[in-house]
Amino acid sequence: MKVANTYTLDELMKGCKAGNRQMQEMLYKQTASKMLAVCMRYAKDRMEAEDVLQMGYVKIFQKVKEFKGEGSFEGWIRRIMVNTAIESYRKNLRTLNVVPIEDAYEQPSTGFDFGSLGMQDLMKVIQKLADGYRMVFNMYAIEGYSHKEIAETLGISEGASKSQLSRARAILQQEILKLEGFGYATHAG
Amino acid sequence: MQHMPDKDFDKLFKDSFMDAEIEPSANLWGNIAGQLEPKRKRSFPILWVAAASVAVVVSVMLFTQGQDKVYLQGAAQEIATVRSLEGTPTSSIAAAEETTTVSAAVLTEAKRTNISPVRAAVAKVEIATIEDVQEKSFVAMQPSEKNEHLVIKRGEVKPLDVTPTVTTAKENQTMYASADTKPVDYFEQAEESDTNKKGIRNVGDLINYVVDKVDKRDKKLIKFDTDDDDNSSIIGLNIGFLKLNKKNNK
Repeated sequence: MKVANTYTLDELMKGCKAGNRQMQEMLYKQTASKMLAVCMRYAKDRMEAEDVLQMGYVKIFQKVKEFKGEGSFEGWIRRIMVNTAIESYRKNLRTLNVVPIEDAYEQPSTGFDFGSLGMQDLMKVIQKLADGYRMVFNMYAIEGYSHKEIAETLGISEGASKSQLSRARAILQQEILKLEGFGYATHAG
Repeated sequence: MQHMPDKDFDKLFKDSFMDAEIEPSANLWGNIAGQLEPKRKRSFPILWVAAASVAVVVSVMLFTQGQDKVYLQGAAQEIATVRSLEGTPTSSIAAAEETTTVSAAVLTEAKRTNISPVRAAVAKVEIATIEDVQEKSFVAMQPSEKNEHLVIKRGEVKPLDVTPTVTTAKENQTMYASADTKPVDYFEQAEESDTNKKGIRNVGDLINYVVDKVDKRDKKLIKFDTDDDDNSSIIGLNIGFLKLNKKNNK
């Protein structure tokens, strides 16, 4: 989202601390698309991701006064977003239902690039992971949580976190290969 | 791909998502703003509604009260003075009316007879009757200045009767009548002052006392009928638009 804003994140942060609705909206417009990308990784679909995004921003505006300036404001926003996503997952803890691998062939990315996978393709692959796998992979591989932290946050054992991570990786690799194969196949055909 | 180490595999995803941006739905900010709004609306409106309702009640009370005070305080004094006049003079006026009717009757009789001897008789009888009346009134134990005035009037009127004995007899009769009416008045007054001096024995009396100090209107904001048994009942109510007075109904 490229908005020609004259406000820096710090200025927006101060405006939000003051409860300025316009500043809140500016902050949202400046950061929402990035944050939705974060939420999408944790969610099963866009609808769920936007629900998390909404909850996250409400939380951000309510808690912005607690931001002490340790680290970047964007990092703080992202952290709240991730926590909100995890909370949401924990609230509606669903049984681990592995998505049939065949479904991966549906909805191929239009902007598929040979050799290098597009973000949207990776997103699709991640979203097709079972909830538990998706959580662990996101938290470990992208957010950089340790297995100990993941275990504490999700209320599982460290061993379970490790095994789910390796299982997630295996599934993802499989899916990507299929995506690439599909891409080659379509272009070859 | 299959030979890629886990770290590199993870990095592929991390780098890919690093600056990823996905445009949210257009209505999402509206939803967020709407979710932020109610929090404020919920916390403030209750206060506002409470404050507004209190303000309305107070203003209505002040408005009606103020109007009544402005209007009734002026009238209250008039009523008070009128009442105080009424208290005693009514009887005298009534008595005067009686005497005038009597005098009218007597005058008609007088017209039949000679007028000049009657006048002479009047003067004589006047003195006699005044003395008589004064004596009688003292005997009646309740003399009053107004009484004397009445007596004089009667004295002027009665002598018109031809026989002075008859007039004195009439005087006596009327005097007894007037003497009888006066003490009743005194009793009533005594009773009234008695009620005022009863003191504050219960809540009803206390309210009556306070209301009496605050509300100078003839019909008080609220008035209780109290008795020695601590039984109080509202007998008077005057809240501007709503008036209740059980005494008037009796």
